[in-house]
Amino acid sequence: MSSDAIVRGQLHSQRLRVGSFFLLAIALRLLAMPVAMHVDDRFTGDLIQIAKVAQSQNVSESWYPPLFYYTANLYQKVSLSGCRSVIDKAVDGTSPASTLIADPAIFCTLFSLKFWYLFFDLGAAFLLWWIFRRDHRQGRLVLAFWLFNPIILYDAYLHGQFDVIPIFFTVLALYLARQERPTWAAFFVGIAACYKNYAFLFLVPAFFILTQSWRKRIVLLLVGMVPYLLFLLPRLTEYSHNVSGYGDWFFKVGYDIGFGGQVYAFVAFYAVLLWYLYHRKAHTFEDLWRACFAILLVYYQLSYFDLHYWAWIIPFAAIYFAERPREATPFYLVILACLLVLTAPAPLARFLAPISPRFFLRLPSLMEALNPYLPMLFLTNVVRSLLAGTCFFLAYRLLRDMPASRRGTVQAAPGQVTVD
Amino acid sequence: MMKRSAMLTLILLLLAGCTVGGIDVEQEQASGLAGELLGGHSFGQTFAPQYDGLYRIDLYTATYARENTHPVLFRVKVAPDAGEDLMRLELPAAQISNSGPTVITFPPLAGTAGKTLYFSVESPGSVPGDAITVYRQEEDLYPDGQMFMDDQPAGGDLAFIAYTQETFALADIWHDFYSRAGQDKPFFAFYCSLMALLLVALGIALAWRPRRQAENSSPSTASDEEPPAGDPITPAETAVEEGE
Repeated sequence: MSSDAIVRGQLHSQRLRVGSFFLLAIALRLLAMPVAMHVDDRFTGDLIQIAKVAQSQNVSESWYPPLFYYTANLYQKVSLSGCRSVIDKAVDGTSPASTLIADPAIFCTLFSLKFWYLFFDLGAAFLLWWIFRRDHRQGRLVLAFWLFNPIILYDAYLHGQFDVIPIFFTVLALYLARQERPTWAAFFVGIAACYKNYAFLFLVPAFFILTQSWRKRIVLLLVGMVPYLLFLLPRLTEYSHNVSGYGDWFFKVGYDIGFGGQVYAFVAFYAVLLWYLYHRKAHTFEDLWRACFAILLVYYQLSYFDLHYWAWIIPFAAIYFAERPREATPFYLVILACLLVLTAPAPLARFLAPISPRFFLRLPSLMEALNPYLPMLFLTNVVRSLLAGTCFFLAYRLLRDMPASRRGTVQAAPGQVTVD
Repeated sequence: MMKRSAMLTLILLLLAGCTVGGIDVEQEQASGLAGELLGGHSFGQTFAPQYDGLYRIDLYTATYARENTHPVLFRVKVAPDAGEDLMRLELPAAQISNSGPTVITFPPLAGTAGKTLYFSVESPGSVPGDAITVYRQEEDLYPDGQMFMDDQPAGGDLAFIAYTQETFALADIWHDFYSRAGQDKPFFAFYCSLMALLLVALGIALAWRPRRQAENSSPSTASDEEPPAGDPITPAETAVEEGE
């Protein structure tokens, strides 16, 4: 057999493998879509609440930036045409949460409300694979890590949160940064922030890493900020009321300096990191994802997080895993184990409530079941501390091993040789 | 063998069912005592459990820190004026708690979900100085029920917690799902077709690959499983690992 035929055979086999990864991943996602949702006695659950606000455009109930609600409203106009009853009842506010979950139309509603996540989710997977396409092994690793990642599956298809949308734009920004298109990269970081504010955390590091001229940095900052401000300004007065509570949720770790003055530990770390990037003259693609990865690892330890917030970190974790699987695996196993234990206060089985509300809504959480026998709060705090230690060390290691470049903007991509 | 018996145990457990339950109605607020429960009088409360299987009521009681002698009659009925009791229990005076609620358990009652029920306590023969009492909240905090005195609405609520429990077998869960899913046939027809199509495509993709690999099976094709470009661990990684 000629070498051409062998190469063709290998490529064909590679494509089939990637294709079967995608098909299996889609099957898993479709399986969870109609039967799982986040349940909260106060407002049915995140997914229904978000859909309800998108439907009514009632800003006083919105927690997220306006662009998300505009997009969701547009999507719902098309997707919910066949099964509106649950959302209509939620908008009316007359039906209690338990009756909405037991409604026979809940399956169709959940499927429709989650279906668009699939495009962003698979789009992000494709972009990550494309970044590593030159190295088949790394490509397969990054794809498998993303497509079968329990946190992504949990976030989008069990919980029903829309984090995959800003994540997709973040991955797109990473891809464009690798393609040496910093302005577009900054723009898409800004678009990601128009869906969830966390993406702003990446804008300033990107501003330091993607270019060296201060004039260009200002342009990047403007390009990143303008879309957000354009969407926010018309609704600023209404929206500011909703975000006023952020201070109670985020950046809680810090110290009091008297007269109401407070130093937020995470913001202080962020400033230190920016100075580190500035003095290290970090300008490679690797610098960018390492900095973003470290920021989120530290953020989760110094600020409030819900399990689904961990989806934000997955693109960076996937790149690290593809590049250094042996180094990353022990960290990831410990982090995953800690996160599993930290789900103890909330019964995970409640996410399956649409299957049988009578059964799943009454299952106790691990915390409730074990509290009579074990000091569960103390134990979960021990695990939380282990998680913090692991994340701090991993962040330190990511920053320590960050390549420095003193000459030229080198956008070294994975699988490419760095020219310094 | 171990695997098989573990699987068998799991299947038996799933078929036998598991009991789930917990607090169904909770009204623990109290602004004071309702006064002595004397013979010929009663205190009661209407309430509406969300689920089937009412099996326990924790009623906040007090004994005035003394040893009372008369038993307490506890009843559950569908309404204050209903003649028939769904449940009737006689509690010895010693069982009435003075610090925390008196826990009253009984065999689970079926068909309680969403229905308004009524429970009451009375103590025939009790006299002033030898009677128990219950805690009450004068303000109406529990919207799905109210307190009764001598089977007449009295405003406010008693302080109590109602528990329900049900046993579910796998078949019950399936029935719960199927009975509702069956009402949305168009969606499930579409959904099942989509899943079937996907599984067929996946089957083809998985079955296709070994054949192609078999066709290409020569020593040189083994490189498909290996990274095409050098060592899977980058030199930098090796350096880091060596440094540890």
